[in-house]
Amino acid sequence: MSELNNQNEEVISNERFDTYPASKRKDRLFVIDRMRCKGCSICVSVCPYDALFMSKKKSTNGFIYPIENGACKACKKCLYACPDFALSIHKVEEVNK
Amino acid sequence: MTIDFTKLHHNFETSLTSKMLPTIWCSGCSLGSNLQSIIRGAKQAGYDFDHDIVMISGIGCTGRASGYVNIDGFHTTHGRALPFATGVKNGNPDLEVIVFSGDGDLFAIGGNHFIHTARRGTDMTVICNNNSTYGLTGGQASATSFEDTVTPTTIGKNDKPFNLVDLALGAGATFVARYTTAQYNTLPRVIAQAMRHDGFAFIDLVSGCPAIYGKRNGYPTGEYMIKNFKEASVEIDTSDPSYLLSENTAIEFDRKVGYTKIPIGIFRSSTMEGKF
Amino acid sequence: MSEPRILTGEHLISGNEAVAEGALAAGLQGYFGYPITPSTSIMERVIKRIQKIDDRISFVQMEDEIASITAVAGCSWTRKKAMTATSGPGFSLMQEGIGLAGFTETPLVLVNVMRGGPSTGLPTFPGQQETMQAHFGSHGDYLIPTLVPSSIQECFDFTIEAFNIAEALRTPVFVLSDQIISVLKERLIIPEADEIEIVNRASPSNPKITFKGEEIDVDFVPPHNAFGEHEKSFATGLSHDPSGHVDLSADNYEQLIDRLHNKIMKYQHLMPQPDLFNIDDAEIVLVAFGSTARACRRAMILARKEGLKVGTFKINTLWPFPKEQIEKVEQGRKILVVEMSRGQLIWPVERYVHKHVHHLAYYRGQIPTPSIILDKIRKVLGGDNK
Repeated sequence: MSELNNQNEEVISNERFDTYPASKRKDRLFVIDRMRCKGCSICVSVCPYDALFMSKKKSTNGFIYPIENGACKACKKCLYACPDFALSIHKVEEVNK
Repeated sequence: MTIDFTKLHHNFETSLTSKMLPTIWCSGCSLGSNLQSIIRGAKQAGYDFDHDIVMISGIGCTGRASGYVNIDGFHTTHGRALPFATGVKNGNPDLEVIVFSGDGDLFAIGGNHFIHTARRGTDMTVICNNNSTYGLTGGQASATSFEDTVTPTTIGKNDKPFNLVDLALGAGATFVARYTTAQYNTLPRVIAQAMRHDGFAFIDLVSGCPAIYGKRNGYPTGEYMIKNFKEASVEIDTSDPSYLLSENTAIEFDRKVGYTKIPIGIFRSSTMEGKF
Repeated sequence: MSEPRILTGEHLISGNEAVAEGALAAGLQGYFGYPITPSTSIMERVIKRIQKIDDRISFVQMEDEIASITAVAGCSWTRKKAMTATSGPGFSLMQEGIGLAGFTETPLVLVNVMRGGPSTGLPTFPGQQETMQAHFGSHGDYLIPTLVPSSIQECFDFTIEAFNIAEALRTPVFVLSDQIISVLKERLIIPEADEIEIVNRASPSNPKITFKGEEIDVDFVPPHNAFGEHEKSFATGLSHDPSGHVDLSADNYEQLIDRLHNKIMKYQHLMPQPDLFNIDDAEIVLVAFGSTARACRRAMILARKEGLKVGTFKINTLWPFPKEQIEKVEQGRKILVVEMSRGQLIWPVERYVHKHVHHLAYYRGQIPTPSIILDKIRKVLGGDNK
């Protein structure tokens, strides 16, 4: 379990978003919106690749939030299950400056 | 890699009213993903989300949904989403009218409107966020609360719950389906089918209120609830005509573990000459 | 065989039929109703006529009055002119939808043909007991223009006025008729179509509209898109910001409540003004509306024959109340309020007339006859202060 609970080191964050390149599809970016997440953990439970675990720290909104461990394959299952519109998958080329 | 953080909006952000988010809904609530399934369903059905659709909702947690989507919408008074929608559809038959409201709104205070709108066959898609409780007022028993569950308004046992599928079939709805929040891929497809249906389409969308009702009655978290929905859902066998019997369409619930049987599927999809 | 929308010419028809013709002349596009005596013949006339008119006018017989008023509001949000009609018990049920329509600035017309109440009361006899309910019936602070016809011609004219006010000011408008006028038949003259002023509501793309030659101020009545106009159009019965979205903050709520009130008061002068008869030399002025105003005018004529100096103040717009006019009329004159209720119209009159107001409260399911009113006039002028 301890390996699963290590944050993907390629994370790039700002005060609102955490972004992770998907491991098997490097052209995709997995994005967590900490301002919208309410810490329900549904994403963790629906992820078929065990790519997510919940943070220990709380966001500025007072909720724990998911962290990606490098196993994400950008399958979108968590996106569809997220009740708070907090997860998204983007093409890297579209969000790269 | 340098990321332009201004572009990291949600994949369906253009269909949302960004300034109203985050939603008022509790952590783990079904409503957000149900709303997302409606957005996905409308897109699958080929509707221009910004132009063709009106979402009418009533009062309660679900009532707030129409304010979160970037389409024409109206947040009516308690129980009156259906008559308002009847007025909208009659005023402009070209609009695709979605009514998204809760079990208390559609089946307790608005029960009379439901049976009559179904009887008239007005062309609209009615999606009931059926979480078996009045979430916004603190989890009181609703018309679909299960008998052996505990709520602040339960004395001994709750009254017998409505079987919404049975009720809709009896009232004459021409498209009747039931799914749960957790059928993330099927649900949008069925919503699309319901929207394309010419007539009164009803979906009993079994949803959970883990923060209030679930905490008292066997599914304390959103995570558990989703697993519970997946395990308890049973696809109906339409080859056996007895699938329409009331006892075969009823949802079963156990206070200790949550849902034990949720018959899901499309119970009726008859073509009839729509009102419009 | 199709019929024109506007039946220009002379007719001998009832008040309810005249209301239906007025609605059609004003551009009615949707009617949602539930049968109730004595208003039902409005619905029946509308149905009979719309089947012969080429325009698309939708009609649905709803399951109850709550559904009727809500469906009317829904229809209105597709930029259609919609109405319903009801009577006492139905008006009570509609209060919820009235509050919603007022708060969401939904143009619609509601005709209430008053009968005796409370509860089921006197279904086939007249009353004027919804005077205060028209103002305060739904919870919360709101103000809905209320027109009170007392002749068949006014039933027609005021229904058109009601639609025009509704469209110009984005508000529900009431027409309070009563059982007497609903079945009374007299001459109605329907003018040529081009002589009837029709107002259609503003939109963000076409914000400037005029009503009776006056441009409506968009700061008071901001235009809003209807559904299906390819601009996000949202409204809620919760406190909301100008875009229609939920905003429960104190300042926003106060501004909203004020604006909804002020937009009606600002254009009060465009609503039907009171008719004053023989006021100049009058010692006593009868204050009434609707069918009792007819009896008052007759009583006034009879009293004048006896040499009694009587005038009549016939209210045409009940709410907002014609405060300024009654303040002018009361100076140096006795005031006698005549109404078919135990005491409702007397409330606003007492509020604006700063002295003792005489009262003929007649609540027997019958109209006070001119001779009853004349008796009361004699008593009041004779110094009886009861």
